[in-house]
Amino acid sequence: MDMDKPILQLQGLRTEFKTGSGWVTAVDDLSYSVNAGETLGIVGESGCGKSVSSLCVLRLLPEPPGRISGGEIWYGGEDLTKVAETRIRDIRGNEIAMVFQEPMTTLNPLMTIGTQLCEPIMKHQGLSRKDAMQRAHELLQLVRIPDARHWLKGYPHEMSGGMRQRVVIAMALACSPKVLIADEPTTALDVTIQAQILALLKELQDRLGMAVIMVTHDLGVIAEIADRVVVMYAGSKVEEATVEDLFARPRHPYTHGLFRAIPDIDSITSSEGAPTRLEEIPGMVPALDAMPSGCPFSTRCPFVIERCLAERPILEEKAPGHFAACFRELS
Amino acid sequence: MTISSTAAAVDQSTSPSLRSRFAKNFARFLSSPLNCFSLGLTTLLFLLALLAPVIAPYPYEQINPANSLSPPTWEHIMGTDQVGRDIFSRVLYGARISLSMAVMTIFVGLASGVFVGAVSGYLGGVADEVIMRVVEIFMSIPGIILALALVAVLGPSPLFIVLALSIRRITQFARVTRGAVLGVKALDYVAACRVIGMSNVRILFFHVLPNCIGPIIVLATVLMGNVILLESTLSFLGLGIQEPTPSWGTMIAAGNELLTFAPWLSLFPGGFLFLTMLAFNLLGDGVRDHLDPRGASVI
Repeated sequence: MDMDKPILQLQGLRTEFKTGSGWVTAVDDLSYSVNAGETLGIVGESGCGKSVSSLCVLRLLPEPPGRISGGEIWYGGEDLTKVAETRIRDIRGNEIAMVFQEPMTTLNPLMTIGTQLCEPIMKHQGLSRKDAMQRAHELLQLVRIPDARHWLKGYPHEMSGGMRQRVVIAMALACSPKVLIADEPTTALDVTIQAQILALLKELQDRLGMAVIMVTHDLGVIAEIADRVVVMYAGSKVEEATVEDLFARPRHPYTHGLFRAIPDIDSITSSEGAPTRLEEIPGMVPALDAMPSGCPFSTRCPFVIERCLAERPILEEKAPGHFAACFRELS
Repeated sequence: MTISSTAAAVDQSTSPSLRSRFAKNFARFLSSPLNCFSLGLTTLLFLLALLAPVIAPYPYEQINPANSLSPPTWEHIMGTDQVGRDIFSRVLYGARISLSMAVMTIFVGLASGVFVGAVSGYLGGVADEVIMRVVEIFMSIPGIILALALVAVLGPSPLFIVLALSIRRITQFARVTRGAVLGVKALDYVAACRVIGMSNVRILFFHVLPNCIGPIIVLATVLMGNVILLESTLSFLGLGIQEPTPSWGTMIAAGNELLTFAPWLSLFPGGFLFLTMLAFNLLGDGVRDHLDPRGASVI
């Protein structure tokens, strides 16, 4: 597959939610693309629209109260926001798969692991139950569940969180999807299991050549797995760069603030006096229905100038392949 | 990536077969003496009803005017009624009628109520509002009045009695199922089902409903007793099972005027009715405690 041609492309996606006081915008003019074999990280704090935008790709946004009010999602020549319900159902789990945050509740407690794994295989590939079981067995081996044959007959409650997340990943990979959306797949797991799952995802991606969209609030996860990063703030993209560029030189004050908010073990222990206070981004994300008219980050930005309050900065290429929505040049 | 296999191997546990799981659960259920009692009693009642033609010493409609209103004797252990029919045989056949009608009523109520409730809860939105308002309209009419009115209009045939009794059950099952579906629907694995491209019908009936079965079973058990009582009430009021087919309600009503003179006429069918109610209510409580140890009430 052509590595440079985007397999999935969002263009100006806009979603809204109905609230008591009318429609509020949750995702505002979001565009990104992901190529085959590439890992795109989407990072941002809770409520910035990163999960909502990824749900839109599979048209899983609960409607009502939500709705996609604009933009296009291109996948292989089709606009996923417009295709028929039957077509999107064929795509779900077959060509674009998704892994959720909470492995403890993503499996049906009443069904054996094997039966659940067979569901997408039988639906999308039309295999018989026997062949599907065989495939389920291979999948469990693929995600390194020991004694896979035994676990086919096991129930989710007998598994630990890490094992369940492996099963969930196996289920997502069942039909060899071209795009895998992982929505905070490691947030509910402890750090050692987190490292294993990330390594597993990376290995499987190399082997299967799929595109991965990793949605997370954890910059550590991004550093470990992503090739390119989209930083979201209050529903829109504020910065996009390769992971090396972003970590070397963040060009948006928000990204800058995020990095400074990561505790640094040296600065805490080296100073002889009291430990230094952890840096934070002052203030709160403005409510979706009370966005400032200028730059959405202007209320919290340490580099704010007058222009930021009046005018909304658009995304511009600050360096080759490095985009940021800011009027200022950060050094 | 070798760490992963060792880490996962540690928490490997044996998964017992479904059969031994069931046996273990059942043994736990029977560990309470009260559950043993209620389950034993209901089983006994069903056996008596099933085997009525074998156990009953006389045909239930056989009259013997020469031996009318005989108190309990060795020939007629529960005595005879005004026309000399054997009360014991009639009580057994009455159990047959009562239990079979209750089972049918519960079946109709459960099948339609669960369907309505599941669809309502799963769809949500306007459909849910409309369905639930209709259900509430039916719930606002007292059950016995609704049943009386229906039977009075349609006629007291067993089929119509079942119909009249099940309308209220439908609403009860619908509400309980809807509540359970609302809870299960919000769980992540339902979203996961959508993610793999499953149709709504399949998600609802294969993934959501099986996880709602607990409260539905409890409701079905508890309602068995209620329905038997309601059917007896209808019969007592003369709008239920008609003579000469025996029903506990009609028998109690028939003995009512002779209560001081020949109490066995009402006493034995009444006693059976009481035991049946007791058995099913205790069983319902037991099942509820077993399925939900936290003790939340479902009705």
